[in-house]
Amino acid sequence: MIELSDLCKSFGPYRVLDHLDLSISRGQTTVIIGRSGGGKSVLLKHIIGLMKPDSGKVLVSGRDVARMTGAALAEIRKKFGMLFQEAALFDSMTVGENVAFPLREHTRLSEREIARVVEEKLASVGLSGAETKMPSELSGGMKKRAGLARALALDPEIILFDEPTTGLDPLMADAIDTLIAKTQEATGATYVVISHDMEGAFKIAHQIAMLYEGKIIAKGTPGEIRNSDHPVVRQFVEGRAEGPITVV
Amino acid sequence: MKRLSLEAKVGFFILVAIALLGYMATRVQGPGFARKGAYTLTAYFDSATGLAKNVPVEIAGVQVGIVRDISLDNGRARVTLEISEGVRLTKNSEALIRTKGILGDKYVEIMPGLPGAPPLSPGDRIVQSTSPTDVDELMAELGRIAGDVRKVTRSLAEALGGEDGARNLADILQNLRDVSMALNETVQANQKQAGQAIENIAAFSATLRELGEENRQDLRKLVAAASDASRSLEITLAQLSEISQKVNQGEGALGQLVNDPATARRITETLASLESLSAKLEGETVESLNSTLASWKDISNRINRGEGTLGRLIHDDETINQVNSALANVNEYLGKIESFRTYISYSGEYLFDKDDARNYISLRIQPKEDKYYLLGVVDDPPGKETVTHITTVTNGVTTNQTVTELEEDQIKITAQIAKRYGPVALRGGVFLSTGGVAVDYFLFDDQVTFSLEAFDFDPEEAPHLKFRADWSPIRHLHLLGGVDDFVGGDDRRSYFVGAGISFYDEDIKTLISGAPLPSP
Amino acid sequence: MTTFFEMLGRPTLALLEGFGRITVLFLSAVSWLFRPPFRLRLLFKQMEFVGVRSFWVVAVTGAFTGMVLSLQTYYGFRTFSAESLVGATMALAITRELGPVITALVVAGRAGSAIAAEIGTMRVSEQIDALSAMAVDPVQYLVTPRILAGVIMVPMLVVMADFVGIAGGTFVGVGLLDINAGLFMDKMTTIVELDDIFNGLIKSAVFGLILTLVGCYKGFYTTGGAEGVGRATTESVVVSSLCILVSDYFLTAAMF
Repeated sequence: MIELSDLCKSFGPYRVLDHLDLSISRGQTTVIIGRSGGGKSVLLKHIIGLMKPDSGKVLVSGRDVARMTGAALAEIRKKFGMLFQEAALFDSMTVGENVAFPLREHTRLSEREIARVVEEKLASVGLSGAETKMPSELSGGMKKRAGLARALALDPEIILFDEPTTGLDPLMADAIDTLIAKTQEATGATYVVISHDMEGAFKIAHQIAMLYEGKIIAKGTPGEIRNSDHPVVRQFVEGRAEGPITVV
Repeated sequence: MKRLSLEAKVGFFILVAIALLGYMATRVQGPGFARKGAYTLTAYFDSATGLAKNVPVEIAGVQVGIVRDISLDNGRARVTLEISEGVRLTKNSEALIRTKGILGDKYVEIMPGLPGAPPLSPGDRIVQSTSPTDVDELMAELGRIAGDVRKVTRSLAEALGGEDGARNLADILQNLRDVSMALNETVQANQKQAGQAIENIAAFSATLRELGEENRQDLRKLVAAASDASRSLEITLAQLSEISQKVNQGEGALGQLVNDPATARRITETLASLESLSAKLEGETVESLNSTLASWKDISNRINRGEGTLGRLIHDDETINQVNSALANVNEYLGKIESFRTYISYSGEYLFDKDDARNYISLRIQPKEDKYYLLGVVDDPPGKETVTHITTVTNGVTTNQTVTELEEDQIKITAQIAKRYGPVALRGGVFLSTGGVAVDYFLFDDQVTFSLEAFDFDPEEAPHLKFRADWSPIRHLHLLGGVDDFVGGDDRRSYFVGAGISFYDEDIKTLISGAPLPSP
Repeated sequence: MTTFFEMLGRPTLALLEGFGRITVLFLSAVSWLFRPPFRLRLLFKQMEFVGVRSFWVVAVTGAFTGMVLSLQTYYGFRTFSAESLVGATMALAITRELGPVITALVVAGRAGSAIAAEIGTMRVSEQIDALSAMAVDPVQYLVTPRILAGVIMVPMLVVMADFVGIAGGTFVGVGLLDINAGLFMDKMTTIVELDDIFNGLIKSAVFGLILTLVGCYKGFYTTGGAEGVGRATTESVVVSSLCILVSDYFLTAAMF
């Protein structure tokens, strides 16, 4: 479904992605783990074309997003949904308008149908009746759910999650993870999640990939990752400060 | 109340803005004439200085077009005028570049020609044109005036100025004094001699009578002798008569005493030079000097004529005394002329509200420190408004008519006498050809003068009151300003500024000290 | 090690980069003027924000500008008895210069900074990325309506500022300083020409473009969270004010 090959990206002197290769399978949840600031968000933004690689390819359904511009890029983006780290709800719109936004932009549904879809999506994330609330009135977890509802609005084939549980209390984090797993199961779409939360990753992932120093150093099922003997992966899985990764 | 929708608010806002723009657009005057159907004319000017494209073209103050283009053509300014369709001009029209307002904006004024003349058609040239009087030209005009003033002052200087002049004047006075003294002495000496002669004659005749009484018999002989004696007496008397005749004619010893030919020549020369001086002078200065000289001439003529006067001088103490005192007066008068000061000044006032200027040329004769006479002419374009009420009764109907006449461009007269008391001077006399009085207040060594003039006392109108401040930052130059006719109401009141130059005889020397003085 | 040339070069490069970015932003915003979808609703919203809501501040500023102009020119002109020209001078200054410039500066301070803050916040909270991710062009969605609103509404505000300013100046001149009303108005209407007003409006349209474009640009390229938003807001006011004043000179030189 998504093929990243030989992807390079530098910001000034910092090489964030270094000849990175990764393939993501259709209909599965792939969790990319790595350190904070390790280039996970950059990787995610390459997939949806928000960032352009210095070199390499980003193939989505066989088409290179990295070379796309304008209408073609817009067209392929309609296949995506994305949940941003802080949900990125539009401050100037109500929750209902936020969820309705992609529908209004990209479908010819009537207002009544839109209202129905919005209600349905909000219900699916457990935010029934929150249509008229403004994003500023919502808690962090509710924002993420509203963001998820917006990402789900067009029933996209691929949904990208940027640190969905970061900044949430463990209970809310678990609730979000559960919601992700549940919706993935319900829609059968391809989910790409980036996270540094191993617990959550093991819970929702079909595949886990480890990003370290600009490369995918390990990829496999949760079980494979858990039992990996790669020292970096081990250190990360075990959550130790000592090891090949220098923390301080 | 339902809130206005977004679109309604924006729409209302834009409508209001467009309405305001429309309002302002109609209020400001556009190009002032319709471009549609306009035709062009050209005019040539020696100078189009200050003229710009798109400035108005006016006839009688009404805009009829604009200046389309200004270009150089054979050293002259070729100005293309765009004139409104309906405006018809004739061949003898004249184009002038004039100045509008205090900012000095130039525009083109067309003076339409006579209606009978052939019309100008599009593209034609307006033949008559007058270039603007600009500051340069004004300065040139001032230069010419200064030149004239210089000419006058030079002739004055030739007569009065310089050491030669002063010495000549002193010589003249000395001569006059000598003459009068000689006259005095001669007359006194002659009086004694004549008295003696007459006494002698009387004694002689008395002796004759005595002789006759005593010697009647010898009378016949005596008569014969007397006949001889009488003949000799006759001769004596004839001689006496001859002497007096000679004295009268200025011959002989006595005559020579009285009228030494050298003295006489010198007096004549003096008079001649005075006459030539007066001939050199011109204008008002001349007039006053002429009259002065005329009085000198009169006095000296009387001396010159001699005849009767001198005869009377010999016999009449009274006359002698009068002549003496007259000569003393002449001496005193001439002495005064030495301390006499004459100022010649020119000043101009620009009256803002009238958009016109007044020019003053005046002569100030100051015989004493605290007294002067002011004579002058004023070119007074603003003139005076005369309002005449005419009441006519026609067929029992009374019609009241008010006629307002504006005298324009009149040359007016100034003739004033002034007396100064410390920092204050009072003036009275003729102001702008009407009677009036004025007060001057002097400050800072007379560098600054404030004047209040009141004149033109008309029972029906407020008098003409003028306040003027005059500042002389350097000698000869005056800057002035004030308000004219400030009680005369809005239409008469006008603020003014101006400048002037003035010279007096001392200055004249300084002014032309560089030029050698011809000896008189 | 930073060499002298680097010290010299970096700001230059940054400046060039800024020019490039703002030009690209402007061109793409303009290109979206002619491509659907046309977001009239957003345009109206921005017109209301930039124009209608700036009315009072512009009106008060304009009125007092006219008033103080009358007062100042009166004191000057009185010394040579040209009081009747106060109206004309005041009206010329307002229509040609002060109306457009002061309005633009006020709107730059009020709306330009708000635009920078709003777009900057959207940038740092990834709302702009979210727009892109939802296949909506952020330039088309955010920048084009704001620039268009600026170009349309700033001249409208200037018309009002001109009017209110002249009214204020007339009030001071005729009402308080007792200059003859007839002369005051006559000189004003004679000397002020339609071109003076229109050239002022053309300038103000450019100012409207400048202040919205700079606001959008500064917001669009905001980095560094809430602090960055604050910086972008301040910079947008400084840069657009400078650009307005500098361009004013050149526009005036070109037009009059």
